Amino acid sequence: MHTSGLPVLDKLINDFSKLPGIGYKTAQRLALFILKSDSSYVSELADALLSVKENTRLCEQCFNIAEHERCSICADTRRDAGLLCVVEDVVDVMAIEESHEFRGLYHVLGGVISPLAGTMPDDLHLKELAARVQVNGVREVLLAINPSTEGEATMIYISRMLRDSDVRITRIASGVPLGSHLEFLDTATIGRAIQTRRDL
Amino acid sequence: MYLKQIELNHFRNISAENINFGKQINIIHGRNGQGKTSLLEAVFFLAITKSFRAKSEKIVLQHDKEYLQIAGLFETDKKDAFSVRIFYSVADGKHVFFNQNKIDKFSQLIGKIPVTLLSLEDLELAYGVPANRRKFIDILLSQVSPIYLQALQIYKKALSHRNRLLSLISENKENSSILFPWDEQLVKNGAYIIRLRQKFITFANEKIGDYYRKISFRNEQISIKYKTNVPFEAETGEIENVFKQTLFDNYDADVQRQNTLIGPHRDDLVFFKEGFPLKTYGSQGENKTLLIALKIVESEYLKEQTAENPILLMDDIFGELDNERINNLIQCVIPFGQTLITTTSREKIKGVPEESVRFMEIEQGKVVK
Ligand SMILES: Nc1ncnc2c1ncn2[C@@H]1O[C@H](COP(=O)(O)OP(=O)(O)O)[C@@H](O)[C@H]1O
Ligand SMILES: [Mg+2]
Ligand SMILES: [Zn+2]
Repeated sequence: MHTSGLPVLDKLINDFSKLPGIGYKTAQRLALFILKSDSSYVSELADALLSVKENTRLCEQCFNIAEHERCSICADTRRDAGLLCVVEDVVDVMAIEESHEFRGLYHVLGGVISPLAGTMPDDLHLKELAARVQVNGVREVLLAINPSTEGEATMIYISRMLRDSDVRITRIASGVPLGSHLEFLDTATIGRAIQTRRDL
Repeated sequence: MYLKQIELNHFRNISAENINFGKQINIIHGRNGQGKTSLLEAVFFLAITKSFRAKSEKIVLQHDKEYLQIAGLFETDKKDAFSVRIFYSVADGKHVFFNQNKIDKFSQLIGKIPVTLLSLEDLELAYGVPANRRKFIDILLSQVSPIYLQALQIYKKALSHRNRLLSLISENKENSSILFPWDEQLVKNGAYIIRLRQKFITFANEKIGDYYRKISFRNEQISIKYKTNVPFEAETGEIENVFKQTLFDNYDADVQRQNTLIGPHRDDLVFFKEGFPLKTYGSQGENKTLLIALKIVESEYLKEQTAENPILLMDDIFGELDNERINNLIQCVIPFGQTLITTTSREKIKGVPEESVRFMEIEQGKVVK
């Protein structure tokens, strides 16, 4: 066990190292940075940390992060409520929003089905998705889920669940990432891109 | 594919060695325990990023050393040159470089350097459990098709999830209605796996008898059967529906055993001589001859499918074969490009055209001549 000799500092280092992608070394650097910073910065940071926790919740419609009952996307009347994009996680909403390509609404599942990890369909926001599709005049459900084995299983599950509704179900194309050279891609990726090719 | 040169550091008993190979037959000879197998192991390691006999990198790292390195210069049949370097240290783990560029996923290298290996341990292939034969065909087909490798990975994962669900169902914690997303992926990828395996077996059946007869000098019929519990129609090639139905029919047994009993993960290869299974009736010599023939067929298949000659590695397989049979064997492999053969008895190799062979002797981890 690492120790700095100062229990208060050790506690902070330990708490930082629980953050994703932060190892012990980085946690130590961050803690020392805090130690040397102005008190005003440190109290602002502490307030910001508490505030995200206290002033946010999950959107009651799409389960995105929200400040009110509905998130800013669901509340935006200019967006196309007939088009739903289903994603695993809130970070996927952020990534898709950054592309400015999508003008519909989202539905955040909160994960993918994975019996080995103990995640069953009932643990995800799947029933809510079925209910939304029933009532809101939804035309199309776009599945933007990673094509892992578990992601595929989740997409298969959703397709079956929505089979009897009139909505069109689509999935994002998987294939060659923009700006990549074909020769450096693994052949399976190229194979998949060829399988999902489309007309020009 | 032609491995021109290999540079080794701290690999098994080889401290630092730089070795040039000939384009066709390379005979690596020396007494027992000098490093012959280790050299073949290093070549295999470059192609597959793993050893064929050690479970972890730690084992091939030379005793008391910090790191190991294997670097190879290759030339394709079309004369394109490239390099592969593998670095391992206990502290930093394994790193693979293709033309100096670091590769993130090791699977990206698989298939770039087609290789087939034949060692005495492969006798397990003839006598051992079905898993050995599946491993043989899976490694071969993964080299032929990256999509096969992907299908295999998805299949295995879906299978683990399904088996977990079967346990939960047998404990009444879940019900059968949540199996379908996994079944669908088993069926789709499993059908692909079966189809590619079957295609190889069809190819092998056309070729293996000739090679067997050339090495055994006996006029005997050899055949291979792909044994699967997915009873598909050979004529229509339809697998998906049959597989799906069989899974469905077997559901109760699966729940009871908490294990999926149907699918290519339980398939097997059966070798026949004159209609009788060699595993049961064949002598050890016959099984060995069959394996050699199978490896040559494997090389031919890799060549046909990847349009590249594989590197053929044969580790100490001559044993009781006489000069004439060894000669025939070598004649069979010459058309497949580069071959690395280890043996303790150099004198057994006679009458092979001189321009096709390069000899090197290895002693205490060093090439001495
Ligand atoms: N990690 C290691 N470090 C050092 N020596 C090793 C290591 N692993 C095996 N050896 C030794 O390397 C020698 C060569 O083994 P091997 O290549 O199998 O010999 P050969 O095939 O020529 O009979 C053996 O003496 C073995 O004990
Ligand atoms: Mg040996
Ligand atoms: Zn919302």
